[in-house]
Amino acid sequence: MVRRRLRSWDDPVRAAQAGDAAALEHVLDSVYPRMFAVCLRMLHDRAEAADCTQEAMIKVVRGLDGFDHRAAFSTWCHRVAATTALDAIRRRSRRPRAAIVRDDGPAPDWEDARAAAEVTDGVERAEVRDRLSAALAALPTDFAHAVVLRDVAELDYAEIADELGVAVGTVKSRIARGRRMLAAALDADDGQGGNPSARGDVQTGPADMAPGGER
Amino acid sequence: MSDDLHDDPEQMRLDDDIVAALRDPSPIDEVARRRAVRAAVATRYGGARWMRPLSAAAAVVVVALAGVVLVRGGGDVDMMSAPAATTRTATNSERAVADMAAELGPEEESAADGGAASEMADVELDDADLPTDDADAATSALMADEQPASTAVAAAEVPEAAAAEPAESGDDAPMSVLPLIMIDTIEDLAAAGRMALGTDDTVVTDCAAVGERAITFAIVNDVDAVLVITADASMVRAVAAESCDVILSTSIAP
Repeated sequence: MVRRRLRSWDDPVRAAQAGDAAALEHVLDSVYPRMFAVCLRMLHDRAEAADCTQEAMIKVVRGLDGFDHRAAFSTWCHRVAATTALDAIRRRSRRPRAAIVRDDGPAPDWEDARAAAEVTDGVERAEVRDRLSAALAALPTDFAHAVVLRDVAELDYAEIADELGVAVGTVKSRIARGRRMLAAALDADDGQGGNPSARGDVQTGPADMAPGGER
Repeated sequence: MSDDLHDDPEQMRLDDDIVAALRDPSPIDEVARRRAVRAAVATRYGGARWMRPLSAAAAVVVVALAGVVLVRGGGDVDMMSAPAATTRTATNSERAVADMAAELGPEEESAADGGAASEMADVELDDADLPTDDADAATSALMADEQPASTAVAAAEVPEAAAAEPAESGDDAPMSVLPLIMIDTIEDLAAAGRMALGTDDTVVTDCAAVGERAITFAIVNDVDAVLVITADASMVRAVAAESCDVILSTSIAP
């Protein structure tokens, strides 16, 4: 496993660029969780997010020689993941509704992993994640994407504007409103009496907020 | 609070624990994680392995579980008759690796891989040189099974190639002329699936327990691979149980 044979590279990304396959494996493994998180929060489907993350990682590798170290490698990877996820969403929106009956067969491995994680992480933390996933999935897409690109992918406003094809002012507005809706939804889940989930003036969420979440 | 402040993300931040939860995708599927890392590493360093000449008896069997297409390429492949869109030239990274391999000897090339290839080769493969006949057997078994309702694909989705080449089953069925498809990465696999289905839709790769081994097989053994296009991943797994080393499966995202 990658994590058991870590070496001490001064800069594993430069080592990977220089042709060190082990360094490349290490840096890819280390950025995987956040790249997957970006894809998951955009797509709300774990299997699709896993495929999307893999596609994004291949793009990262293909563009590795062009990475100029002006930004953090992780940030660059997050952006590639975000771009790939947005592409997947666009493809999804173009896809005709096919008459395919899906039989998922036996539960995938991650279901077991999920159960195990819930035990080790604690039920409360898993519940928070589930509620958050549902609340995020229920947000209007434009707002949700802006929040994810800022708070999960950690892109700056200009980068988000570039990805979404809107003005920076619009991005800021969507982030602020999206966060407000998200916090309101989580607070509503807490029964109106819980801790506020945001530092700011929390307004009411969207009227059409409905349960949802990852598949 | 003014509207401006309402729209200022700096004035409206989520709590740290909420942000942390957003960034935490737990639980992570470790199989998918390894698969992704390996596929990416192989994309950069494994290219030379599948740059074998096309005439070197590389066989690719494409089976569309819509039950209508059986395509086999093998032996000398007349690439001139293949539609351009379905042939693939080496990527820049592959050319770079090939150039490097040409400059270095075989031993140096192995060292330059940094162990990635040897690690992949460590994966158990029951029959690394599985002949095409075995692939045919798997294909025949697959085609002989009655297509369950869950694999039904609307007629409108039947690939154009399939429509042009009416279905015929059995060992004596003529092979249509879909060209050899070079499959090396997940991306190429998905592209091949899209091409075979005549769609731009997302083709989701099914790379669970079977898929990882199958991809490893494809990486280690060049392009001797079976591509199964199906809407039913469980069908692929059932077939793969008999001959999983040569099955790359894709399913159409719902």
